[in-house]
Amino acid sequence: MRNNQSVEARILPGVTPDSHPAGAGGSHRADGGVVTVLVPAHNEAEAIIETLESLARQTRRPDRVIVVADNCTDTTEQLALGHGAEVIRTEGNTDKKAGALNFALEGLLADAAPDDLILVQDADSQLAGNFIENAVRHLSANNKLGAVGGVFSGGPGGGFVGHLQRNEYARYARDVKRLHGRCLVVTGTAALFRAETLRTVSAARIEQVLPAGNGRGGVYDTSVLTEDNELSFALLTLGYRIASPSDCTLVTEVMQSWRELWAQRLRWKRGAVENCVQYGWTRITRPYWGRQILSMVGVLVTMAYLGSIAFTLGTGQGLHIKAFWLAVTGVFVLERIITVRYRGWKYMLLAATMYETVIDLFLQAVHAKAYADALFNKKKVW
Amino acid sequence: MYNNPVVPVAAGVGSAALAMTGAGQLFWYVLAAFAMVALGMAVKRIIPVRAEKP
Repeated sequence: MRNNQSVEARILPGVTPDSHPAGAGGSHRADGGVVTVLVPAHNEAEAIIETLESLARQTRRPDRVIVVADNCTDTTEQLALGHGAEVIRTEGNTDKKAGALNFALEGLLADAAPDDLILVQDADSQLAGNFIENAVRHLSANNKLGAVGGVFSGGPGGGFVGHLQRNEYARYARDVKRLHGRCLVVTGTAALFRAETLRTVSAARIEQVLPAGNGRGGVYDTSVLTEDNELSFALLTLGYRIASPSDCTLVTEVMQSWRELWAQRLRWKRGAVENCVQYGWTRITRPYWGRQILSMVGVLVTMAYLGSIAFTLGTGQGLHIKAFWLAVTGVFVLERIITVRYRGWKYMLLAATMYETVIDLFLQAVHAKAYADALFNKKKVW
Repeated sequence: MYNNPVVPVAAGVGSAALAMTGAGQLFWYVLAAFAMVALGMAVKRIIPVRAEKP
């Protein structure tokens, strides 16, 4: 039985393998098996063409590009078809991106060879021209790798809040490069898997080696807010490694307003803490728990410290600043300057003013809210 | 998921130079201890790393 949600799919008419960009440009079976790209899309008419064009420009062209149109009410499907992609449509899917991907993967994995490759990519992200070539190379070179994810930079727009996110992403890219691709999460924006690996995940869910997910062997856990984080835990639990090599880059959209950023980060942070709870305290999750604890203490420390300053100033006691702590502050300023170097010297100079404290404190507020929501089991909202 | 958890603390505590606020010595020591952890992580992010083995 398929599922209980009356999800349906079909490949829309008018599409033949020869008509899509990969096919037209010389689809091929190279080392690493057939590469199929899955692009889950919910009303992505504004971004889908650019995304498909970035796939058409790949030095290692994908053999199939499938847009999974999930509850779309705009022209996403027509645009995707017009650009030569196959389109699968979900109807009645209530499990968002994870549900749409599970549905598409169910059909895809049934027919795939073990060494076939599946790239899952967001519809609002554009891959660098050599992304697939590099990702396939990394995955083929290491059998222990369960997934190769991308390193993203922020797209244009969003004014000041967009600028802050681009800085943040540039710092993340630097961190990952310094760690030689070691990462905590295989990003949902773009990740390449072997078909066999995803089959193993599916089987492990049914055998309850992993959390059950949708209960029917779906690769993605539909019960969580951060399905990419959960899938990373799943792969690590099964003994695979994950990586985000620095030569697998892509551009993803940034949140265009503080309100949007709040909603996105609340989902990420609450999802991350709930994934930890879901998997418990294990050898795999210990570092993730460590980050959670550090973050939580950080929120408390900042609140306590700023509160005590306000109290002191309010009662006229005055602050007593020591030279040693000014030097310590200097190190933090240096850290801000050096870590944003991917964006160039102008941004580095600007970082010296510590103006990014705005987003740091904003993210701490999101953290506090996420912990409170998780603690009091507030209704989850995507 | 992708940001460094200690950076906000560095910004909050560090940028205010960990002044003595008069809120009690124990309180200050706790803050100072955490600031030292944040400092260690900041230094770790600053210093160069070894190139990857071929």
